[in-house]
Amino acid sequence: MTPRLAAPSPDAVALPTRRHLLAGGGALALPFLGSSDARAQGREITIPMSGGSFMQFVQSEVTDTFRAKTGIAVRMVPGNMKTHAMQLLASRGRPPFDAFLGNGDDYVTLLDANRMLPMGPDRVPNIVDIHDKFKLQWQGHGALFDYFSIGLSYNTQLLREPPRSWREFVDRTVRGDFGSQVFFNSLPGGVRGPEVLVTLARALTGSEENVDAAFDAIRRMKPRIFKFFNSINDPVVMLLNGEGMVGPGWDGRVFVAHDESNGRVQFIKPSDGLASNGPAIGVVRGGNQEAAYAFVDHALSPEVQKNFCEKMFYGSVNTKVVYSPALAARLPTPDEINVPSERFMATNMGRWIERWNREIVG
Amino acid sequence: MPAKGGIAAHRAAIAAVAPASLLVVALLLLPFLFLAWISLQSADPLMVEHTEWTFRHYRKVLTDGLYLDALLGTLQLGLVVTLATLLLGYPVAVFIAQSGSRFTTFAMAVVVLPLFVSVVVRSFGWMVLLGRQGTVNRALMALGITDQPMQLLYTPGAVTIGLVHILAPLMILPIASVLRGLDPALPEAARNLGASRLKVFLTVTLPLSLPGIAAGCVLVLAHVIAAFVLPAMIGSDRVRLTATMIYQQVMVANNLPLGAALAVVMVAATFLLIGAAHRLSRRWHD
Repeated sequence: MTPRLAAPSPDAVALPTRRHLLAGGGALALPFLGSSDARAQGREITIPMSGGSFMQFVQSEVTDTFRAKTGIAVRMVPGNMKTHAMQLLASRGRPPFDAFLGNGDDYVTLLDANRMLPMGPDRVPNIVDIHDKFKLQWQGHGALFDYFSIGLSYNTQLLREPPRSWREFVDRTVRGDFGSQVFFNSLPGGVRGPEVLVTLARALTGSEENVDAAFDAIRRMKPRIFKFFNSINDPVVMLLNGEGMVGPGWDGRVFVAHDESNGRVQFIKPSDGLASNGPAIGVVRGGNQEAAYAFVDHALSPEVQKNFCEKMFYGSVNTKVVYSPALAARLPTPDEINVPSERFMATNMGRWIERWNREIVG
Repeated sequence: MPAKGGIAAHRAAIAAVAPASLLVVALLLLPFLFLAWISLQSADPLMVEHTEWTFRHYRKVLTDGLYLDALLGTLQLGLVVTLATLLLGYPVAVFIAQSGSRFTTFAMAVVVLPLFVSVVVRSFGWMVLLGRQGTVNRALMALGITDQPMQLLYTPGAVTIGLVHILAPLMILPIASVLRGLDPALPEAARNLGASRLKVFLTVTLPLSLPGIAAGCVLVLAHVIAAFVLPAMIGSDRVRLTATMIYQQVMVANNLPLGAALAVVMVAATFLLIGAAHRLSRRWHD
């Protein structure tokens, strides 16, 4: 016999039962769980993501358009790229991500651990249009998704005659032309310090492997450097608040700041090369492979690349992309940039950090 | 044999602390043991299938001047910030706990409210104040102390000031709490017996507030030693800190075992320092 329940008093506060709490907790936790039904059925893929405006434009220009085209949803997991890579490395069984988008040094590790699948033209037709600079080092298992370029940035109100090359930047910094208002990438700060180091080595000696010359240049500039920055927003922030006069800066970020500040900051393409790189993209072994291949191909297609780069002010890796005249005039072309070897940087990074801490810090 | 009531009380006490203890074991002790295990491996177990046991990373941390400097620098910064928060915070705690002023609620709010603002936002606040075109530099120039902006931001001094500001509530609140529980009859009795205000403070109030001071010092020291965001934002790369070096090894150099060894040594050094301070305070108290 079913027990009769007393009718609740209209004044009584409806307290949640344990079942309600569990159900509510489950619903709240759902977006954070590693897998979902849709993913298991191939209707959803999961990709790692950094965050900020990059994530915003990936969503509007890449994942939303992919869903409209294929019906496959893309779940982006924002967070630290290194942590994402470690999660993938540590996973047993089904990986937490179906496609990977992350830093090149982590991509090297994932390649070595046999976590990434081949990306031939049969599975990713758009790979044939990707410029060699952005795919050769991944040995057929990946490509850069886009590329940024680090050149020189400066405050136009504080500096009338900016340096036009890395060599000039070093010489004039040492001479004191910019006072002590120079900033520079911290090598271990996660702000593309290794890329700038090897570009400096190449600019000063012709070889990116000759990092001794780059270390020597930084050591000589050190008395004039007020901040070895460790956030990619720092150059623009320091230029806009008048703290900094000149230093390395990211093209897209400086373009945005230039437009929003009536030209108070400006970007220079050094005549002896720019330090470029970008997030590597590829298909993870053991995930939702078919959908991930389709997603990567979509992300590298000329239409998606153009729309994303016009918004983000970063360069496209697809050679078929035709930029708007305004962006074309600003962006460094693949011929002007230097994409360093990730394996060379990853292999030497531990040693460089120790050297940095001994010779530059302190 | 303990009485029945005693056993029941004992069991109730164990039941009361069990959830917290489980939490500590699960979220602190086990991860720490895992960290210690990684620090004794020849390579990152995530990347290399077969690793060997080694003390190599500890040898490096404990013999290489670079890492010893970072450890000493971190502890030195910890001591300076702890001392500064104590000296600045104690009078505030006394005011809040014992003044009876109608402004004590306001003072309490001023102390507590910053805790609700993120470290990042507070660091931006210091950037505005200490920048070349910031309030402090403008005031210094207006007063004729300097004729051009001084480099105040991105210096070790900026880190110290920022940490003192952020961590002061952690010193003030425990001391104020202890002072509030102090029996007012004790200092009053000392005064009635002819002790000066200074003597009453040194021989009655200060010794009785030592538990609050100890708690505040431990909280502040632990936070300084683990500080990472604020030094990165308003500090300089020229200050070598162990937390920064751990980040570099784990997140940039992909050397998890060395990063783990640095972390274990830092935790051990912190506990040693706290233990030494505890012994000193007990000796003084006795």
